[in-house]
Amino acid sequence: MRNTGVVKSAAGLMLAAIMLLCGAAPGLAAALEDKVVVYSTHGDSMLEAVADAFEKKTGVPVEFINLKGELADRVRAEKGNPQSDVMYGGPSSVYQKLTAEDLFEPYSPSWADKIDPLFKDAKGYWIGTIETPVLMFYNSEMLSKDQAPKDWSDLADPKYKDQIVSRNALSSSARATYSALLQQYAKKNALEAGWKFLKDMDANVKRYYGSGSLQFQAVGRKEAAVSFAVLNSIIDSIKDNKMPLEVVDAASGSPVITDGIALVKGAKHPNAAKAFIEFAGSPETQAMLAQKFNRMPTHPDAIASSPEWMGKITFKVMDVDWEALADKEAEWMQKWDMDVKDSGKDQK
Amino acid sequence: MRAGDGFREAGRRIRRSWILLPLLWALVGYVLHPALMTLAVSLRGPDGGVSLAGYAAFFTSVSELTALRNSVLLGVLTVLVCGVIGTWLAFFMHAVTFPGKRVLDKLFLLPMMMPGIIIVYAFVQLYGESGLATRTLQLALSLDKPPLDLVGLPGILTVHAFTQYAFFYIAVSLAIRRIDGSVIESARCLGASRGRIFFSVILPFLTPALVTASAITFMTGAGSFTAPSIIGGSYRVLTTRILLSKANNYLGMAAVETAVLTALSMVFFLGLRWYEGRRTFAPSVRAAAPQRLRIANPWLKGGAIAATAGLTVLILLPFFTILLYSFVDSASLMVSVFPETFTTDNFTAILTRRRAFAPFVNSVLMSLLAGFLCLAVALPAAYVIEKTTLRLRWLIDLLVTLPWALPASAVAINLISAAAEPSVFSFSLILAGSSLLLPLGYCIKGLPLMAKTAHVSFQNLNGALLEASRSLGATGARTFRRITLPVLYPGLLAGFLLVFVRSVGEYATSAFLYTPSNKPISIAMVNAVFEYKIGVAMAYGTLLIVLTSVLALVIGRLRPRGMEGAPAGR
Amino acid sequence: MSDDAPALELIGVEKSFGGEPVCAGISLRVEKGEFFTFLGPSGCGKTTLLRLIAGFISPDAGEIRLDGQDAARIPVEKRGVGMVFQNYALFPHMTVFQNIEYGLAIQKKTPTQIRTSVARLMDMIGLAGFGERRVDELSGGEQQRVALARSLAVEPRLLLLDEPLSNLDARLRDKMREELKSLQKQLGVTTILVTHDQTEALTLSDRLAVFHKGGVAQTGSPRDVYDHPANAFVAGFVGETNLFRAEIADGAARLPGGLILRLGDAAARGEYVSIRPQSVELSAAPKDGPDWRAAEFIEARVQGVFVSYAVRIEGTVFQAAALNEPGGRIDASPGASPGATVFARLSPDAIRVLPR
Repeated sequence: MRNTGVVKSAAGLMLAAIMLLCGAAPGLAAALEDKVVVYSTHGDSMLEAVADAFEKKTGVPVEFINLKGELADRVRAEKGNPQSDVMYGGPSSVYQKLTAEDLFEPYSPSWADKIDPLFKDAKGYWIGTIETPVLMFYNSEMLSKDQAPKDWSDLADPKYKDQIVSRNALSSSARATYSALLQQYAKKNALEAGWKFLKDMDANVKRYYGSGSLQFQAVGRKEAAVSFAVLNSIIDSIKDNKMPLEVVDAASGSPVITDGIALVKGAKHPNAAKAFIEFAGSPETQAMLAQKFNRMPTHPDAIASSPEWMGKITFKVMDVDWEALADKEAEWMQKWDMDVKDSGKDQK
Repeated sequence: MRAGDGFREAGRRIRRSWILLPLLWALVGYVLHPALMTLAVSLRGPDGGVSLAGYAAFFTSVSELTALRNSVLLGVLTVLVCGVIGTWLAFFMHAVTFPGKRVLDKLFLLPMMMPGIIIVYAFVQLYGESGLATRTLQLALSLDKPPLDLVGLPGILTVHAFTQYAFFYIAVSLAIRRIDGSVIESARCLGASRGRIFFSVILPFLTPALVTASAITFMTGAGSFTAPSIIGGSYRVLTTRILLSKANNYLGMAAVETAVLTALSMVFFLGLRWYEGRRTFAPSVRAAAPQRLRIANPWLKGGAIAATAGLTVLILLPFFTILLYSFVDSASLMVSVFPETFTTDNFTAILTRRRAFAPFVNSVLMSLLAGFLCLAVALPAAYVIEKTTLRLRWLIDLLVTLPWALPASAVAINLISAAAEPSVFSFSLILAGSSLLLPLGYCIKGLPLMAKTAHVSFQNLNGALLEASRSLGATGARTFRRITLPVLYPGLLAGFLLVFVRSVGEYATSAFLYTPSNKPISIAMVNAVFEYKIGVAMAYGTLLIVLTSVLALVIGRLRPRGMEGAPAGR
Repeated sequence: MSDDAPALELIGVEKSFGGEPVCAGISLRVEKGEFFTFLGPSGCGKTTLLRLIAGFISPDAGEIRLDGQDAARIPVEKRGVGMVFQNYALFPHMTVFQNIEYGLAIQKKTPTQIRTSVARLMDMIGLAGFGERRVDELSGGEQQRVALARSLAVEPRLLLLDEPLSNLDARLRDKMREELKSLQKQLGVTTILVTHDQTEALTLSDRLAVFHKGGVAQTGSPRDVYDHPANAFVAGFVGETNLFRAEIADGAARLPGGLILRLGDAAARGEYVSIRPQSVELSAAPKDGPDWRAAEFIEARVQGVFVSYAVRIEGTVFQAAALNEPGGRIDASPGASPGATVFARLSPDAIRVLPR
């Protein structure tokens, strides 16, 4: 039988493949209670630091991945069968959205009481552990302090034509910033003016980047002078990469994103997950992240022991209604991407 | 007729046999079902019923139509650019002999094996506004403005040209070798000029190869995501739109965009199938030994050599950049273009840290697994398509090629959804662990390539060989082991290798499907970029180049001597 | 299995592809040790029949018996039939030795036995010392011999040859034809040859079957078939002949051109008459006697041993053939230029009356 040969070999290959897999994926065989799976937006080195410290303290290994912009998508997609225990990082607007979609389990760690109500969900579905301001910055070798923009509205000034670079709408900080700026206009019932501002600003933007390093490289290599980003990235670039950057304290304030943490509903390792949340938001860990990774704490005790520069850099906080924003962000960003981004430029 | 009868007979037996069931199960479960799910979502109206509202919105939005037009344009231009480069190189390599030709031939295949994402970063570092090549040119020519800026359509096209010309190169190289020398000679005897010979004789011989390569290139070009998302600038295409719609939770619109993109690719795919079916052109029964085409005119020859040398430099430059920057401190790359000091820290960072090295092991294992899974599906599928007359052939043919038309994100997201709820397709329990999902995703993305090579292999497998074996007393199993496999082996090996290298650096599917226990190299690479460690990312790239080259070399050695020259029959 | 059973017996074998009958109720016997040929134009079903015998396909109806045993339940690999394919189907990834040894290795022979057998066969086909060659390094004739040796190695009860000589050039074909015949004689293996080449069939076969439109038109020894074709098709296909439609009545045949030929057998019935070229006697000088007629000389063509002529007798053109003897050629005699009158005799005994 000629055909049975094909069948046999196919079956053989399948078997070999499955056997190979068992070796390839230790996660399949491991017991369920002795690990915690963290989906995050934080960078690998910071996650590694937190994970290592947690493992050292509890002996429970942490499996983490940095899903960046795809985090919410992934948690949603796994709703029927969650693979993660903890969602760590990402702006509060995303947490609010996912809370509404019933993807979290409420949990209040011991340190939650001392967190400002602004930074947490009233029912305990999520809590902010890091404050992430988004600030404008410029290359000080290209612009003087006088030439640099003073406020967000300056970004629409034609004199900055082709002097601005930005992340694209896949970056959660850029999304939060654009929507927060728009919200400022919306609050004054001037949404149309807001869109006009964004369009004018878009006309000045030389390039949108899909990655932060290309964005910072563009400023570092003087392809453009002005940009905006999360503060810790700016500080990293100044301190680690010796880039000549200056931060702008925008006159109307800068949006401050709260990076949250939450227990995923239906988590396979709920106890380890709770222990991880307890640990990751603790004043000690917050302080460690402040010292090593320039992340601003939400916990008063940690703020007290934060690094020197945090005291030095001052910025006004933009009054953003994050809860209202959570409802509007997706719609606004879809419209921004369709109608605003590059709308004035030739589509070549 | 004669050789076909046996297969037809076998096909008749298969009809009642179970071989089709697992095959159809796998294809329907992991290709058709996800595709239909996307279609269903795209047709869901606001009230939950079936509605064309999503499509109405799509086809009335200027922005969406622009994206559609741009995707088509990108696909077409990619075909043109890659067609010219690949065909040119194939002709050149055929016509000119020089030392080191075999090495160069291998080098020309290298770009296809590199993950798109690292290529894009290498290109930005090379040809971006402050790239290595840009600044070098600017300094050399003392220009006020940077002479190059890799952005928008030209930028995407440059990257596509680099990563995709190999389809044309391979297809045309093979086709040239099959040109019947006596046909050219007889055309010459009939008084045809060189140009006439090219258009009336050589081109018809190449047309099948060109059509196939064009269809594949179009589908990959129009469905490309990495290049448009990183250097696309204001050039809006459907693939980037899909991701943004998804990020904004406009899942209906994302599904519509996916369906439109898939339909676009399907048009080309079906066109290709129609062409292949209609084609009655076949080389004469006994082709004379192929004649080497020669360039006689010394000026022409000099020009050709110069042009190819230039192309070769352009092809090798990105690899050089990756290699160079992998020895440069990441921080200095953020501000300066020309590196001054070199370090091996980037490699140390990868090779000495468990978490940094694990992606290597993961990617290799998962790509191997994907390769085997692909074989397990493509082998019986190609057999059924090529050697039987089953009614369901067209369906299987369609299903194994469909993943080409599906955007990576669609494959990935639907795999997750399918695995989340236990179904007949998900082994319910086993798949739930989901470490299998990524290799499965690789497998699905690699399926068309594997099916295509397996298909060609089966075409080479003359039915008489199998019958000869049987008549000499060999059982079906023995025939399969001793004759079928060895004859198919070179093609299957090539297909396996292709799937492996395309998987080992795959980014688009990985981004959606990886889990903590199977983080692949491409993700590690991109994460390094996200942490401003471009040097580390490039070091990952260098290691990947080394890995793929060594693997290609080792497997090349395993191949039995002279297999490709053997008269596998007609 | 009985000793007196024929090596192969076909009883009403039918096969059709896509509703198109290819073999329409074929019955025939091939005796042990016989060299039997299936002769016919392409598309007449002979190759299909060969493949049915080999077991690659199975008949829609009818029975195939090998040594008296119903073959329906014997799978290909157990039938013990060796097949040489038209394109040889040598295994491209194996050497000459590996090709020949392939079937032996399956038969659970010891390595020594295998080596001896292969060496003997390679010697027999004149390829001693070629064992380590790859098959694509061989010439067409050499490949053909390897294919033959490979089939013979398993000592098949039936050797099937599917147009084995058609891919060779003329000279090599003649040589291989001789070798094939002597090899078959020497080994005594029952052999079935499929060919469309009547010379091959006539020279090689002990008996042959002429195929026409899926059926057997005639079976017999080469001499039988040549001398006594069963019908017009066989007469026309096997050997050269002058074949005409004719009205047969009262011991005479009236050709469309009006020529009336006397027949040897007054009772003959049929629709065609056939007369072999060598039976058309020609003479430059007038001859007396029955059946001699005047003819118009058209042309002569020297074919080597023979000369073939074309003459017109009462409006009908005949081909004639005679030995190429010095002085015996009518075209050499003075006055035998085209258009000249010569004399021809159509012997009534040489005229065959045939059914359609």
